[in-house]
Amino acid sequence: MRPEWVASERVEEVRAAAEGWKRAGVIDSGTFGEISRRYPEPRPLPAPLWRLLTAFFVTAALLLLTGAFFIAFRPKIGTAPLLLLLLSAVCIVAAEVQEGSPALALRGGAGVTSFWGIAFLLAGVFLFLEETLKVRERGGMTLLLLAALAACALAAWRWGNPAYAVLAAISFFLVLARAPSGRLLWVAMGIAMTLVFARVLGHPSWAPSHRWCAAVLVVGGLLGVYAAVNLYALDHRLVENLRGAGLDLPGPRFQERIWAMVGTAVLPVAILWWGVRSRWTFVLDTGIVVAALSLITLRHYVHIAATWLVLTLAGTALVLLALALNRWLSRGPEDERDGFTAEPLFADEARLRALELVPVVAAHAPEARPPVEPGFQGGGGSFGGGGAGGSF
Amino acid sequence: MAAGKGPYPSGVNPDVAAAVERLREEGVLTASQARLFSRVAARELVSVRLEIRAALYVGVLLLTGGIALFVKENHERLGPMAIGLAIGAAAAGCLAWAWRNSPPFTWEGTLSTHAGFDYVLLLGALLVATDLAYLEAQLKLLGGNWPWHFLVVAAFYMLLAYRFDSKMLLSLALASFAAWRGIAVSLTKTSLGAGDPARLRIEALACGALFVVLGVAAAGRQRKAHFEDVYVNAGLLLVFGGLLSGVFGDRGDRWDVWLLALLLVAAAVAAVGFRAKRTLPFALAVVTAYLAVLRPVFEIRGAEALVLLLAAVLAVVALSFIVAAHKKMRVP
Repeated sequence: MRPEWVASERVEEVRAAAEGWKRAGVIDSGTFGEISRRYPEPRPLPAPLWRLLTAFFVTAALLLLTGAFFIAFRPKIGTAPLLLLLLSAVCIVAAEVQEGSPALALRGGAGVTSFWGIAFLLAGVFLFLEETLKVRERGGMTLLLLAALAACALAAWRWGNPAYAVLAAISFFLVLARAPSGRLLWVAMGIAMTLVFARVLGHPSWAPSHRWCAAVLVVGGLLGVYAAVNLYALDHRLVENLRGAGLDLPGPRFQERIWAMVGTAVLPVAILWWGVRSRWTFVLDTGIVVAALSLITLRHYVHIAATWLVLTLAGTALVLLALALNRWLSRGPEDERDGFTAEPLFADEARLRALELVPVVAAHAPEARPPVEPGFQGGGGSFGGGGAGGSF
Repeated sequence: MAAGKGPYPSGVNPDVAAAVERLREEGVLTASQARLFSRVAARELVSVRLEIRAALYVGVLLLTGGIALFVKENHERLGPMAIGLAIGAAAAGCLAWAWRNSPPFTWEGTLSTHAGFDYVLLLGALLVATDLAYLEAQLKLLGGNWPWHFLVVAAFYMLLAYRFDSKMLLSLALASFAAWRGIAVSLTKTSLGAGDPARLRIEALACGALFVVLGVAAAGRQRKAHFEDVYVNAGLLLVFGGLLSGVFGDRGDRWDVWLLALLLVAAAVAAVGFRAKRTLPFALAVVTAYLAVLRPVFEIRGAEALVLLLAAVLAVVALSFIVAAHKKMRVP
């Protein structure tokens, strides 16, 4: 990353924090104005919807132009990789130009341009391996994954976009899965990744976006380790299946299953403990997710009750637990206990609530009533779930 | 990818910690403000509100799923009365809790301070809807007119939305009303439901127009004026969905009429959105107009490259329009 980009990010972070302080009413408009004067906006940052809109039209323009280009010139299969690499270079240069321009850097166009640059690059590499070098499928896929890993890691380092850190982590674990001891490598490298990137999470010398990438990689490492030790994943050879070897392998040995049981039970607790101790909320969230996965795994192997009872009890327990936690935190001195609070602090609650509408409506909106057919007398219909529509 | 950069996750902010210290030294922040901000920046104080809300939402999902499964598996054994009463009692419990923890009714917006309020209310409302639907299915109270229970549910959700100031329930009320008219808003279903597309198109347009009018009236009369965006956005989604369906789905030769209508509506909505500095209606209008214009472009036969080039040029034009509009609207 260029030093001026890093400097801009640091200012943007202070401005974002100040907006939260103002939203929460902790500072007044005068103080906010003074902070804004001392930390002037280095690059225009449009609201997410504007960025999405820009990204949509940049994507449309890029893909349609590419399609037009390929249809017009109808390149032979041997020259297609070269054309894709050329398009990739054009996109990456365009992304670099946008990133370098304060007016364009955060408009949403730079991110998608670089994404399509990488996508074209990988498509070119794939065709080159398949059609030009005639590399056999397995070796070709490994090389392609290595290329994806390198491209995404470089992109995350250069542009600080955490989405590339996610893609790099996925590529990394997919590459490891292709090795003979893939599962062990997932555990070893997952732990290593977590420990290495946890050290730089709060490091002032790192750019804010690089710290964000590091946070993503910590989560990636934890999830990689969990995927490797989960009992269901072991029994179903999920890691081995990623290299197409799962079906050839014998079932796991007794000792392996014991270790997996211990891992499935202990790892969520360990992650939750680390999340509480470190107060990294994303680690805590990861712990909650893997704890839920472990409970689902337990349910898969141990049928303690009917599904409806398990769902009802789990839902009731979750609601009561959340309400109890909220109550416990709210009744602490100054609404906090051990550094945790149920207050929103400086988060934008209104935006969160607006975002919640989409999944709620998607999950609970009723099905449309069926069309009325001539002569239909009706029969009371069927009864619906939360949305009161459709059939159970 | 578009929104990949900033704002950064809470906790990863030594820059903020340094800035707070500097602002305190320079007298911009008071000591108490700086202490609070520093604690948050240094992760000495962390909010778990999001986690609590997420747990509540997932809990509600599990509970309603479990109850739905229970009813399905046991309704013959237990009988409709027992099941109806049990679900009703659970719903009453949730709604009573919501009543006790809610501020008094007002036409203004109210803010519940309890993290779990929205979800307990949602659970109560969903349970009542489930109960109504179940009893209707078992007892056939409405007979052949059973789809009217969608309207009853919509009215009930609407009542709760106004009493408890819940945009979530207002959204569900509008979705239930649309379902009554045969339109599915759920993302898991086909957007315009099943049946005669021409009729559904008209239903979507009528519903959408009604919602927009209700939104404008809410804002104009200052009766839950903050509900306006839910009404208007839902209404515009239906209107544009109906018009787009006419452009792409009309089996006759009248797609050009639909296109003209869509462009006129999109222009009007974009103009109003621009003047009122409303991003979502403006964005909906631009995207829908672009998609609709692709229909005549893709009607050109025998020149695929030219067609794609034209579509790409239109995307660039739309992009330039968006960038220029954003600059002139002076909104974040």
